[in-house]
Amino acid sequence: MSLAYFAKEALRQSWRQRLLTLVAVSAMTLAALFAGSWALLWRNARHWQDSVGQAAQLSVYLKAGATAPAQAAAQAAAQALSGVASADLVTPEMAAQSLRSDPQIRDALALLGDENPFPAVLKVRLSQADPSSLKSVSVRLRALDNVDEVDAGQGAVESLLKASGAVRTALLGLLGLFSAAALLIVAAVLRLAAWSRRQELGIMRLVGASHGFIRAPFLLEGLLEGLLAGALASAILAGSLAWLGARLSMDLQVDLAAFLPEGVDWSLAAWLSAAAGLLGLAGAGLGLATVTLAYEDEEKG
Amino acid sequence: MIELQGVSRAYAGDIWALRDVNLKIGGGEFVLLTGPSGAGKSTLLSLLNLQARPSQGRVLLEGTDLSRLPSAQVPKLRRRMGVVHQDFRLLYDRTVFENVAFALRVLGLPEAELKRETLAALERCGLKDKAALVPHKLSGGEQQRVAVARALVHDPGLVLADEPTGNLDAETGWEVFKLLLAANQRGATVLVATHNLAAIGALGKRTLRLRDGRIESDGVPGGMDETLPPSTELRPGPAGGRP
Repeated sequence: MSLAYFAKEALRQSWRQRLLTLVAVSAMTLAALFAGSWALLWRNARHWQDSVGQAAQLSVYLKAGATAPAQAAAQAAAQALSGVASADLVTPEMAAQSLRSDPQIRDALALLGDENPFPAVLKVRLSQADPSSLKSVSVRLRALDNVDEVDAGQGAVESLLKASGAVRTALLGLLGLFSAAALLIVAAVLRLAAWSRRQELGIMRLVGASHGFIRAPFLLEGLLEGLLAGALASAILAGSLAWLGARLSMDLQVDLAAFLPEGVDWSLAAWLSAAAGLLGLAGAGLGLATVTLAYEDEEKG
Repeated sequence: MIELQGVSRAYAGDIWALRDVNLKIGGGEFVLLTGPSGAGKSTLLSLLNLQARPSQGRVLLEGTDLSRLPSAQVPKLRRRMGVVHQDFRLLYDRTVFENVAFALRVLGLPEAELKRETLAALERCGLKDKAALVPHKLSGGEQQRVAVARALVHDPGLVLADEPTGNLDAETGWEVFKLLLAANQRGATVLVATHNLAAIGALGKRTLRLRDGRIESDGVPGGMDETLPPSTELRPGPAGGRP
């Protein structure tokens, strides 16, 4: 069997039923657009999350009586924990020195005389920024010797990371819904196409065409329409981003790339086209599996 | 080659199109099926090309019991036969060439061979200059010749024709019979359901007469030429002499 023949048949069929083809491609383009938007947000959300994670810093307050060796031991222990990228020790002297530049604090310290009220603090940065590792590292830091308190920004970072995860999960759910809707539309369209051509398909069967021979052009049609939808969605996304970037830059002097550093590239376009192609193929398979062609009943007798 | 053993076929449960038909047809025979409308001619042919299955009995083709043939095997069997229908059953959005080539395409022939064989079949059927046209541009007789070309292009061992001349004038109908006779002379077994008494008389071939789903008579008719319509002109067959 020739692939060229099936491709020609698929294109002929698409052209002959242009309206149905348009409906199927539009549905898949919408789904691919949503998938593309989701992928963009996913990529950039990861970037944002990484940025938030880099900014996220746990303050580990050591006990007031902790000696210099005890502080160094706590720093080493914190540094050795998995999930910790760095642990910098800020001694009470360093803290006082740093804060003396503020006149009010300098005056307050003067009132205390030789007494230094600042505790030793470990500034801990995480190697991975997500709510679970934030929580887990906090718990393990708290368990270290001479640790008095661990401050994770009063939960602000954790909340931000959680919110970011929730947005991505919600987007994933919506993507699933859109994909399912597109799948059903493609299935219905190709089922309708097969049904409208039942006489012709019956003639082909009569001449000796197998089920596979008859169905192959429909499957290929679904695949090709999906690939087209993926390419269209990529082009629309790239065009929209370019337009939005130009408008923001012109009207608000805002650089879109600062918020969306990752745009539509060839890998995203290829991923989208492949995903939409598979969606089309699955839709065609589903459509043909649920249609009983006239000749099938006849042959069963 | 073909054997029907006690074959009956009912539609809608109790409308019997064939009743207890027993029949043997040897390889290379040319057999005409005749009888009034509803006698069971088309049903008999549809049992042979598996458009229908017998309600009772067995249909054997070269020893294979068609009654029990799995659906997946049906296309393979059909590729070994050629079928011509009264209503042509062509693919009307394709050219004459593509219609005829389709029978070879399902066989998976390479493109070059497919083209060569198709053009040869079109030439045999006098359609070479019509290859690029779609069937709607052809007369009824030409369309039927396309259907015959499609049925014969792959040199099938069995040719079934269901009223192939039913929509044609006598002369065009005779052209179709000549093509079927030529296939028979090349070795194909040919079964033709027809009302064309002129052709039956002229051909002098084994004729099965059916009535009410039963075989009423089976033999070579003689002295039937008087049934020819006055306008019918009998011509020599492709091998010379009376076809």
